[in-house]
Amino acid sequence: MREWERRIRQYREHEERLPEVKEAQIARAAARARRAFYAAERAQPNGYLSFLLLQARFVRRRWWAAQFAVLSALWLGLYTVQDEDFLQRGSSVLIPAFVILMVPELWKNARAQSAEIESASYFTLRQVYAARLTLFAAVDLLLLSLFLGVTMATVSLTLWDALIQFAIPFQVTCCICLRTLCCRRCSEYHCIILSLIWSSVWMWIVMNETIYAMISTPIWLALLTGSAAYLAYAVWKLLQSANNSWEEDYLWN
Amino acid sequence: MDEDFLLIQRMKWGDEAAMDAFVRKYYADILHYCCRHLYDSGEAEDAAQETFERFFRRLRDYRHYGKAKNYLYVIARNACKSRYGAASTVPLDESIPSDADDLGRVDVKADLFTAIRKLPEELREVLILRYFQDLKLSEIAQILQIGLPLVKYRLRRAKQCMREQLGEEEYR
Repeated sequence: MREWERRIRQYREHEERLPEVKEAQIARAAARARRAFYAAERAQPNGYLSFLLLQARFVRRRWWAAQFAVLSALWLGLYTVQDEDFLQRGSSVLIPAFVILMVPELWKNARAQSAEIESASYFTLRQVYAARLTLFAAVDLLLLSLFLGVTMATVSLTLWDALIQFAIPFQVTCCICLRTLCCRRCSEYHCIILSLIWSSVWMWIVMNETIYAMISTPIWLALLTGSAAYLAYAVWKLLQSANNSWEEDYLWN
Repeated sequence: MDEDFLLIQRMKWGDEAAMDAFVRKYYADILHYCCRHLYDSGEAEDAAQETFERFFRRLRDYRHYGKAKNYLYVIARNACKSRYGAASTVPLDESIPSDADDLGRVDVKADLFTAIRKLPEELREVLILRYFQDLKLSEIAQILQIGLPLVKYRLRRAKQCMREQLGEEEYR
């Protein structure tokens, strides 16, 4: 054993004075811990659905209305130019705008620096974010399903074309939003700027006949599945990192 | 799956005997950890109790990935940090043996305690966790959320600082 370690061991065994652990102290700590546990259990809402409804009260409906407006404009555009594939493809650049409308709600915590307040409440930040993502996912799924259904019924657009033109930009933009949300150095403006850059890239891909023709079905499929997989990872990462600002929960929740 | 896994599952189901067993199992280590940071037994007891209270308050969301004890250290560390301002003085007499006849020994022991106390916080933390709480380097890295190389570096630095304060011949 090194001298260093020997000295410390000697200090611990012979010199260090630590208070004796009394039974009464342990009993007090256990009682206090039990009370905290029961108080937390009582505050728990009845089921996840109740919690979701509670969170829904704090989400501003205007963003959903704006998303509906974007989809309506997109449908109108597709309906108007339905015989022109080129212009149809170009209208898909509105999809990132649809996603960007989620940004204000998702960034609300960081912008208002309310993370501390929310974390002091019973629910973890992760639960709050999970609930908000679930709400947005549910409503957006409804809006997109409605949009796709109406579009495919009224516009000459195949499911495959719809997936390529809408699902890919949608998923990539969602990935950008969620990953920048995890990044402490990024603000919502970084998210919007990156989304706009992606929108420009997407526009360049779909509006450039040469490039578009070069991309074969397997590549589209790979982009579709790859972006979906990364989106799942981004959601997981957001939920994992939601509590990173709190040292206590960082490792375990 | 370690031995605490079933205990924690029982605690989540509201088993009070399991809760008591858990507190009894780790209270001493947490209390001593707090004492080594706060130097005041009253404050240390409060911090230790607060540690368990915080743990149980969030028990529903706790996921048993690693050792529960390491998680308790994280909570205790934060509980102590919030009390640092109140415990800024060092009650040296608590660490000096009552038998003060051997003055040389007294001086050296007080020096060791003072030298540890004077270390920068990040070095002292690693030192306490390693040599006083007997944790492995990987566990320290997990608690402090730093890499293993950084833990080793801080331990080396702590040793260097101690050497400077106590005299090189003591720690070759």
